[in-house]
Amino acid sequence: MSYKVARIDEIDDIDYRQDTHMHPVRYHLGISAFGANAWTVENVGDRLMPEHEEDAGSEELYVVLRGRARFEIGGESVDASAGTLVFVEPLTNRTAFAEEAGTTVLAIGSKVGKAYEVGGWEVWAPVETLYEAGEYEAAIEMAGPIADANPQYGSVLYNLACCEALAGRKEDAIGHLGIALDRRPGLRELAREDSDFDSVREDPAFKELVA
Amino acid sequence: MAAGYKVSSLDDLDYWGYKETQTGRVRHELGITAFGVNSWLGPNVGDRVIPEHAEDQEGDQDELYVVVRGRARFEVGGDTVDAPQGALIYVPAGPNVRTAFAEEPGTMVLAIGATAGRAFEVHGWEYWGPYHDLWVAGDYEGVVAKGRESIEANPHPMPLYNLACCESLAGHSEDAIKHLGMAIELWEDGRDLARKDSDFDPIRDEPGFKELIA
Repeated sequence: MSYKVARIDEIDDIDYRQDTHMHPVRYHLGISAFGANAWTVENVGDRLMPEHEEDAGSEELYVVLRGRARFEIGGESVDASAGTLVFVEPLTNRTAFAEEAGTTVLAIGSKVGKAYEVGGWEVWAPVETLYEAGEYEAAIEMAGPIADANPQYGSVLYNLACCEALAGRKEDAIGHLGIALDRRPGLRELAREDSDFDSVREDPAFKELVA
Repeated sequence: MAAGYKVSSLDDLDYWGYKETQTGRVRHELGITAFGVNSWLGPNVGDRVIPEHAEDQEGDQDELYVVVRGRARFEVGGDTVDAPQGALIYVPAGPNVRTAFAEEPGTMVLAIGATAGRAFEVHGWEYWGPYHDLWVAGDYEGVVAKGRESIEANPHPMPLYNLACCESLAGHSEDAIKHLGMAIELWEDGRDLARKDSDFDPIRDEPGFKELIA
Protein backbone atom coordinates (compact mmCIF):
# COMPACT_ATOMS: atom_id res chain seq x y z
CA MET A 1 0.00 0.00 0.00
CA SER A 2 1.40 3.38 -0.89
CA TYR A 3 -1.12 5.47 1.08
CA LYS A 4 -4.76 5.48 2.10
CA VAL A 5 -7.27 8.26 2.68
CA ALA A 6 -10.52 8.22 4.66
CA ARG A 7 -12.88 10.42 6.63
CA ILE A 8 -14.01 9.36 10.07
CA ASP A 9 -17.66 9.68 9.03
CA GLU A 10 -17.08 7.23 6.17
CA ILE A 11 -15.73 4.51 8.46
CA ASP A 12 -18.72 2.45 9.66
CA ASP A 13 -19.11 2.62 13.41
CA ILE A 14 -19.38 -0.40 15.66
CA ASP A 15 -21.81 -0.53 18.59
CA TYR A 16 -19.60 -1.11 21.59
CA ARG A 17 -19.92 -1.41 25.36
CA GLN A 18 -21.91 1.08 27.40
CA ASP A 19 -23.80 2.30 24.31
CA THR A 20 -20.75 3.77 22.61
CA HIS A 21 -19.94 4.01 18.90
CA MET A 22 -16.43 3.31 17.72
CA HIS A 23 -15.00 3.90 14.24
CA PRO A 24 -12.08 1.48 13.75
CA VAL A 25 -9.55 3.88 12.20
CA ARG A 26 -6.46 1.67 12.60
CA TYR A 27 -8.20 -1.35 11.11
CA HIS A 28 -9.74 0.60 8.25
CA LEU A 29 -6.46 2.22 7.22
CA GLY A 30 -4.29 -0.85 7.84
CA ILE A 31 -2.05 0.82 10.40
CA SER A 32 0.24 -1.55 12.32
CA ALA A 33 2.59 0.76 14.27
CA PHE A 34 0.07 2.21 16.75
CA GLY A 35 -3.60 2.02 17.66
CA ALA A 36 -6.19 4.59 16.52
CA ASN A 37 -9.97 4.71 16.85
CA ALA A 38 -12.56 7.47 16.72
CA TRP A 39 -15.58 7.75 19.00
CA THR A 40 -18.71 9.62 17.98
CA VAL A 41 -22.09 10.39 19.53
CA GLU A 42 -25.38 11.78 18.30
CA ASN A 43 -26.72 13.57 21.36
CA VAL A 44 -25.60 15.73 24.26
CA GLY A 45 -24.97 13.58 27.33
CA ASP A 46 -24.19 10.42 25.35
CA ARG A 47 -21.16 8.48 26.47
CA LEU A 48 -18.24 8.81 24.07
CA MET A 49 -16.07 5.96 25.28
CA PRO A 50 -16.56 3.16 27.79
CA GLU A 51 -15.30 3.70 31.30
CA HIS A 52 -12.04 1.74 31.51
CA GLU A 53 -8.43 1.58 32.58
CA GLU A 54 -5.56 0.76 30.25
CA ASP A 55 -3.04 -1.94 31.16
CA ALA A 56 0.40 -1.12 32.57
CA GLY A 57 2.46 0.64 29.91
CA SER A 58 -0.46 1.53 27.63
CA GLU A 59 -0.56 5.25 26.93
CA GLU A 60 -3.56 6.89 25.29
CA LEU A 61 -3.99 10.33 23.77
CA TYR A 62 -7.49 11.66 23.11
CA VAL A 63 -7.97 14.52 20.65
CA VAL A 64 -11.32 16.31 20.52
CA LEU A 65 -11.85 16.81 16.79
CA ARG A 66 -15.39 18.19 16.88
CA GLY A 67 -17.88 19.46 19.47
CA ARG A 68 -17.11 19.42 23.17
CA ALA A 69 -16.53 16.59 25.63
CA ARG A 70 -16.46 16.19 29.38
CA PHE A 71 -13.81 13.70 30.42
CA GLU A 72 -13.90 12.01 33.78
CA ILE A 73 -10.44 10.83 34.71
CA GLY A 74 -9.45 9.36 38.04
CA GLY A 75 -12.40 11.09 39.73
CA GLU A 76 -11.74 14.50 38.15
CA SER A 77 -13.78 16.26 35.50
CA VAL A 78 -12.09 17.85 32.47
CA ASP A 79 -13.86 20.17 30.05
CA ALA A 80 -12.50 19.57 26.55
CA SER A 81 -13.51 21.75 23.61
CA ALA A 82 -12.45 20.98 20.02
CA GLY A 83 -8.66 21.04 19.79
CA THR A 84 -8.12 19.79 23.34
CA LEU A 85 -5.50 17.09 23.89
CA VAL A 86 -6.06 14.75 26.82
CA PHE A 87 -3.24 12.34 27.62
CA VAL A 88 -4.10 9.60 30.10
CA GLU A 89 -1.52 7.40 31.79
CA PRO A 90 -1.95 3.64 32.12
CA LEU A 91 -3.96 2.22 35.03
CA THR A 92 -6.04 5.39 35.29
CA ASN A 93 -9.81 5.15 35.08
CA ARG A 94 -11.31 7.28 32.31
CA THR A 95 -14.50 7.90 30.36
CA ALA A 96 -16.04 10.85 28.47
CA PHE A 97 -19.45 12.28 27.63
CA ALA A 98 -20.55 14.61 24.83
CA GLU A 99 -21.41 18.18 25.80
CA GLU A 100 -22.45 18.96 22.21
CA ALA A 101 -24.28 16.91 19.60
CA GLY A 102 -21.95 15.28 17.06
CA THR A 103 -18.86 15.36 19.28
CA THR A 104 -15.97 13.32 17.85
CA VAL A 105 -12.88 12.16 19.75
CA LEU A 106 -9.86 10.46 18.21
CA ALA A 107 -8.00 8.03 20.48
CA ILE A 108 -4.38 7.04 19.77
CA GLY A 109 -2.51 4.47 21.79
CA SER A 110 0.52 2.25 22.13
CA LYS A 111 2.72 0.62 24.74
CA VAL A 112 5.80 2.23 26.23
CA GLY A 113 9.01 0.40 25.35
CA LYS A 114 7.27 -2.26 23.26
CA ALA A 115 6.55 -2.66 19.58
CA TYR A 116 2.84 -2.17 18.93
CA GLU A 117 1.02 -5.47 18.54
CA VAL A 118 -2.12 -5.65 16.45
CA GLY A 119 -4.45 -7.69 18.61
CA GLY A 120 -7.60 -7.19 16.60
CA TRP A 121 -9.52 -5.63 19.46
CA GLU A 122 -11.61 -3.54 17.05
CA VAL A 123 -12.54 -6.61 15.06
CA TRP A 124 -13.83 -8.31 18.18
CA ALA A 125 -15.63 -5.21 19.46
CA PRO A 126 -19.08 -5.96 17.93
CA VAL A 127 -19.18 -9.26 19.83
CA GLU A 128 -18.15 -7.80 23.17
CA THR A 129 -21.65 -6.83 24.34
CA LEU A 130 -22.93 -10.39 23.76
CA TYR A 131 -19.96 -11.79 25.67
CA GLU A 132 -20.57 -9.41 28.57
CA ALA A 133 -24.26 -10.34 28.63
CA GLY A 134 -23.31 -14.01 28.95
CA GLU A 135 -24.87 -14.86 25.58
CA TYR A 136 -22.03 -17.14 24.58
CA GLU A 137 -23.84 -19.10 21.86
CA ALA A 138 -24.90 -15.89 20.14
CA ALA A 139 -21.36 -14.53 20.53
CA ILE A 140 -19.91 -17.69 18.93
CA GLU A 141 -22.32 -17.41 16.03
CA MET A 142 -21.35 -13.78 15.44
CA ALA A 143 -17.62 -14.28 16.03
CA GLY A 144 -17.15 -17.30 13.74
CA PRO A 145 -17.27 -15.39 10.45
CA ILE A 146 -15.23 -12.53 11.98
CA ALA A 147 -12.48 -14.94 13.02
CA ASP A 148 -12.55 -16.62 9.59
CA ALA A 149 -12.24 -13.26 7.83
CA ASN A 150 -9.40 -12.06 10.11
CA PRO A 151 -7.23 -15.12 10.76
CA GLN A 152 -4.21 -12.93 11.56
CA TYR A 153 -5.73 -11.62 14.81
CA GLY A 154 -4.84 -13.76 17.81
CA SER A 155 -7.08 -11.89 20.23
CA VAL A 156 -10.20 -12.57 18.19
CA LEU A 157 -9.54 -16.32 18.23
CA TYR A 158 -8.68 -16.15 21.92
CA ASN A 159 -11.97 -14.47 22.77
CA LEU A 160 -13.87 -16.91 20.58
CA ALA A 161 -12.20 -19.76 22.49
CA CYS A 162 -13.31 -18.14 25.77
CA CYS A 163 -16.93 -18.08 24.59
CA GLU A 164 -16.70 -21.69 23.44
CA ALA A 165 -15.26 -22.82 26.77
CA LEU A 166 -18.03 -20.94 28.59
CA ALA A 167 -20.67 -22.51 26.33
CA GLY A 168 -19.30 -25.99 27.02
CA ARG A 169 -17.86 -26.52 23.53
CA LYS A 170 -14.56 -27.86 24.79
CA GLU A 171 -13.05 -29.17 21.58
CA ASP A 172 -13.74 -25.96 19.67
CA ALA A 173 -12.33 -23.92 22.55
CA ILE A 174 -9.06 -25.84 22.64
CA GLY A 175 -8.76 -25.75 18.84
CA HIS A 176 -9.19 -21.97 18.62
CA LEU A 177 -7.03 -21.30 21.68
CA GLY A 178 -4.23 -23.27 20.04
CA ILE A 179 -4.33 -21.10 16.93
CA ALA A 180 -4.62 -17.94 19.05
CA LEU A 181 -1.48 -18.82 21.02
CA ASP A 182 0.38 -19.52 17.78
CA ARG A 183 -0.46 -16.01 16.61
CA ARG A 184 0.14 -14.28 19.94
CA PRO A 185 2.28 -16.35 22.31
CA GLY A 186 1.99 -13.51 24.81
CA LEU A 187 -1.60 -14.62 25.51
CA ARG A 188 -0.42 -17.92 27.02
CA GLU A 189 0.09 -16.34 30.41
CA LEU A 190 -3.40 -14.85 30.33
CA ALA A 191 -4.93 -18.22 29.39
CA ARG A 192 -3.31 -19.91 32.39
CA GLU A 193 -5.26 -17.72 34.79
CA ASP A 194 -8.34 -16.84 32.75
CA SER A 195 -11.42 -18.17 34.55
CA ASP A 196 -13.21 -18.32 31.17
CA PHE A 197 -11.27 -21.55 30.63
CA ASP A 198 -12.24 -23.18 33.93
CA SER A 199 -14.39 -25.77 32.13
CA VAL A 200 -11.39 -27.04 30.13
CA ARG A 201 -8.66 -26.46 32.70
CA GLU A 202 -8.25 -30.14 33.55
CA ASP A 203 -8.28 -31.24 29.91
CA PRO A 204 -4.83 -32.63 28.95
CA ALA A 205 -4.90 -30.77 25.62
CA PHE A 206 -5.49 -27.46 27.44
CA LYS A 207 -2.72 -28.21 29.92
CA GLU A 208 -0.35 -28.88 27.05
CA LEU A 209 -1.29 -25.61 25.32
CA VAL A 210 -0.62 -23.40 28.34
CA ALA A 211 2.41 -25.30 29.62
CA MET B 1 1.44 14.02 36.52
CA ALA B 2 0.14 12.97 39.91
CA ALA B 3 -3.46 12.60 38.78
CA GLY B 4 -2.54 10.25 35.95
CA TYR B 5 -3.37 12.60 33.12
CA LYS B 6 -2.35 15.82 31.41
CA VAL B 7 -4.41 18.24 29.36
CA SER B 8 -3.31 20.73 26.73
CA SER B 9 -4.80 22.37 23.69
CA LEU B 10 -3.61 22.59 20.12
CA ASP B 11 -4.03 26.36 20.54
CA ASP B 12 -1.81 26.61 23.62
CA LEU B 13 1.26 24.92 22.14
CA ASP B 14 4.30 26.97 21.12
CA TYR B 15 4.63 26.76 17.35
CA TRP B 16 8.18 27.01 16.05
CA GLY B 17 9.50 27.30 12.53
CA TYR B 18 10.82 24.21 10.80
CA LYS B 19 11.54 23.99 7.06
CA GLU B 20 8.91 26.60 5.99
CA THR B 21 6.38 25.17 8.45
CA GLN B 22 5.20 25.80 12.01
CA THR B 23 4.99 22.87 14.36
CA GLY B 24 4.00 22.25 17.99
CA ARG B 25 5.43 19.51 20.20
CA VAL B 26 2.44 17.49 21.36
CA ARG B 27 4.40 14.38 22.43
CA HIS B 28 6.89 16.42 24.42
CA GLU B 29 4.34 18.73 26.06
CA LEU B 30 2.21 15.84 27.28
CA GLY B 31 5.07 13.50 28.18
CA ILE B 32 4.00 10.75 25.76
CA THR B 33 6.65 8.06 25.23
CA ALA B 34 4.79 5.28 23.38
CA PHE B 35 4.39 7.03 19.98
CA GLY B 36 5.28 10.27 18.24
CA VAL B 37 2.78 13.09 17.73
CA ASN B 38 3.14 16.70 16.60
CA SER B 39 0.79 19.35 15.31
CA TRP B 40 1.35 21.54 12.26
CA LEU B 41 -0.20 24.94 11.72
CA GLY B 42 -0.85 26.89 8.53
CA PRO B 43 -2.10 30.38 9.49
CA ASN B 44 -2.61 31.46 5.86
CA VAL B 45 -3.92 29.85 2.70
CA GLY B 46 -0.99 28.38 0.78
CA ASP B 47 1.22 27.89 3.87
CA ARG B 48 3.04 24.58 3.91
CA VAL B 49 1.79 22.49 6.83
CA ILE B 50 3.88 19.31 6.41
CA PRO B 51 7.53 19.50 5.31
CA GLU B 52 8.21 17.67 2.08
CA HIS B 53 9.82 14.37 3.04
CA ALA B 54 9.81 10.60 2.67
CA GLU B 55 10.05 8.07 5.48
CA ASP B 56 12.31 5.79 3.51
CA GLN B 57 15.26 5.02 5.79
CA GLU B 58 15.71 1.98 8.02
CA GLY B 59 13.53 2.48 11.10
CA ASP B 60 11.46 5.29 9.57
CA GLN B 61 7.87 5.67 10.64
CA ASP B 62 4.37 4.92 9.43
CA GLU B 63 2.54 8.25 9.66
CA LEU B 64 -1.11 9.18 10.10
CA TYR B 65 -2.13 12.76 9.34
CA VAL B 66 -5.40 14.06 10.74
CA VAL B 67 -6.87 17.35 9.53
CA VAL B 68 -8.14 18.83 12.78
CA ARG B 69 -9.15 22.23 11.44
CA GLY B 70 -9.55 23.99 8.11
CA ARG B 71 -8.68 22.18 4.91
CA ALA B 72 -5.40 20.91 3.52
CA ARG B 73 -4.13 19.84 0.12
CA PHE B 74 -1.85 16.85 0.47
CA GLU B 75 0.61 15.82 -2.19
CA VAL B 76 1.52 12.16 -1.73
CA GLY B 77 3.62 10.16 -4.17
CA GLY B 78 2.70 12.54 -7.00
CA ASP B 79 -1.05 12.49 -6.24
CA THR B 80 -3.05 15.46 -4.97
CA VAL B 81 -5.49 14.73 -2.14
CA ASP B 82 -8.14 17.18 -0.94
CA ALA B 83 -8.32 16.84 2.83
CA PRO B 84 -11.12 18.70 4.63
CA GLN B 85 -11.57 18.76 8.41
CA GLY B 86 -11.84 15.19 9.69
CA ALA B 87 -9.77 13.69 6.86
CA LEU B 88 -7.31 10.91 7.70
CA ILE B 89 -4.27 10.36 5.46
CA TYR B 90 -2.20 7.31 6.27
CA VAL B 91 1.23 7.01 4.66
CA PRO B 92 3.24 3.94 5.69
CA ALA B 93 7.03 4.05 5.69
CA GLY B 94 8.34 3.83 2.14
CA PRO B 95 9.49 5.91 -0.79
CA ASN B 96 6.39 8.13 -0.98
CA VAL B 97 7.33 11.79 -0.82
CA ARG B 98 4.59 13.73 0.93
CA THR B 99 3.84 17.34 1.82
CA ALA B 100 0.72 19.43 2.48
CA PHE B 101 -0.50 23.02 2.16
CA ALA B 102 -3.26 24.96 3.92
CA GLU B 103 -6.33 25.60 1.78
CA GLU B 104 -8.06 27.60 4.52
CA PRO B 105 -6.65 30.04 7.10
CA GLY B 106 -5.77 28.41 10.42
CA THR B 107 -5.50 24.90 9.03
CA MET B 108 -4.17 22.46 11.58
CA VAL B 109 -2.88 18.94 10.96
CA LEU B 110 -1.96 16.38 13.60
CA ALA B 111 0.78 13.91 12.64
CA ILE B 112 1.11 10.62 14.52
CA GLY B 113 4.00 8.27 13.88
CA ALA B 114 5.75 5.11 15.02
CA THR B 115 7.81 2.34 13.48
CA ALA B 116 5.97 -0.95 12.88
CA GLY B 117 7.47 -3.85 14.80
CA ARG B 118 9.64 -1.68 17.02
CA ALA B 119 9.29 -0.06 20.41
CA PHE B 120 9.01 3.72 20.06
CA GLU B 121 12.17 5.59 21.03
CA VAL B 122 12.38 9.27 21.79
CA HIS B 123 15.32 10.43 19.67
CA GLY B 124 14.61 14.04 20.42
CA TRP B 125 13.82 15.26 16.93
CA GLU B 126 11.62 17.98 18.44
CA TYR B 127 14.57 19.42 20.37
CA TRP B 128 16.75 19.69 17.30
CA GLY B 129 14.09 20.97 14.91
CA PRO B 130 14.20 24.64 16.01
CA TYR B 131 17.90 24.88 15.04
CA HIS B 132 17.73 22.91 11.83
CA ASP B 133 17.47 25.96 9.59
CA LEU B 134 20.48 27.64 11.25
CA TRP B 135 22.46 24.44 10.76
CA VAL B 136 21.53 24.23 7.07
CA ALA B 137 22.58 27.87 6.65
CA GLY B 138 25.99 27.05 8.15
CA ASP B 139 25.39 29.29 11.18
CA TYR B 140 27.04 26.93 13.67
CA GLU B 141 27.67 29.68 16.21
CA GLY B 142 23.96 30.51 15.98
CA VAL B 143 23.02 26.90 16.79
CA VAL B 144 25.38 26.90 19.78
CA ALA B 145 24.14 30.28 21.07
CA LYS B 146 20.44 29.49 20.71
CA GLY B 147 20.34 25.74 21.19
CA ARG B 148 22.88 24.69 23.79
CA GLU B 149 20.82 25.44 26.88
CA SER B 150 17.64 23.72 25.68
CA ILE B 151 19.47 20.70 24.25
CA GLU B 152 21.40 20.17 27.49
CA ALA B 153 18.19 20.50 29.50
CA ASN B 154 16.47 17.81 27.37
CA PRO B 155 19.29 15.36 26.74
CA HIS B 156 18.43 13.21 23.73
CA PRO B 157 20.94 11.61 21.38
CA MET B 158 20.06 13.30 18.10
CA PRO B 159 20.15 16.94 19.24
CA LEU B 160 23.26 16.31 21.39
CA TYR B 161 25.07 14.73 18.47
CA ASN B 162 24.12 17.54 16.11
CA LEU B 163 25.09 20.17 18.67
CA ALA B 164 28.50 18.50 18.94
CA CYS B 165 28.86 18.67 15.14
CA CYS B 166 28.15 22.41 15.20
CA GLU B 167 30.58 22.99 18.08
CA SER B 168 33.28 21.05 16.26
CA LEU B 169 32.71 23.07 13.09
CA ALA B 170 32.67 26.35 15.06
CA GLY B 171 35.98 25.51 16.77
CA HIS B 172 34.62 24.74 20.27
CA SER B 173 36.56 21.49 20.67
CA GLU B 174 35.95 20.90 24.35
CA ASP B 175 32.20 21.43 24.14
CA ALA B 176 32.00 19.23 21.06
CA ILE B 177 33.73 16.35 22.85
CA LYS B 178 31.52 16.79 25.92
CA HIS B 179 28.25 16.72 23.97
CA LEU B 180 29.34 13.92 21.65
CA GLY B 181 30.19 11.91 24.77
CA MET B 182 26.70 12.53 26.17
CA ALA B 183 25.14 11.50 22.85
CA ILE B 184 27.15 8.26 22.60
CA GLU B 185 26.27 7.35 26.16
CA LEU B 186 22.58 7.39 25.17
CA TRP B 187 23.05 6.02 21.68
CA GLU B 188 25.82 3.55 20.95
CA ASP B 189 25.38 3.91 17.14
CA GLY B 190 26.58 7.49 17.46
CA ARG B 191 30.13 6.22 17.96
CA ASP B 192 30.23 4.59 14.53
CA LEU B 193 28.66 7.60 12.91
CA ALA B 194 31.18 9.97 14.53
CA ARG B 195 34.11 7.92 13.22
CA LYS B 196 33.14 8.72 9.65
CA ASP B 197 31.47 12.11 10.09
CA SER B 198 33.49 14.88 8.46
CA ASP B 199 31.85 17.41 10.81
CA PHE B 200 34.34 16.12 13.39
CA ASP B 201 37.41 16.63 11.18
CA PRO B 202 38.42 19.75 13.15
CA ILE B 203 38.70 17.71 16.37
CA ARG B 204 39.71 14.35 14.92
CA ASP B 205 43.22 14.52 16.41
CA GLU B 206 42.09 15.63 19.87
CA PRO B 207 42.87 12.91 22.45
CA GLY B 208 39.39 13.30 23.97
CA PHE B 209 37.75 12.61 20.60
CA LYS B 210 40.02 9.64 19.88
CA GLU B 211 39.09 8.15 23.21
CA LEU B 212 35.36 8.55 22.53
CA ILE B 213 35.40 6.75 19.19
CA ALA B 214 37.95 4.10 20.18
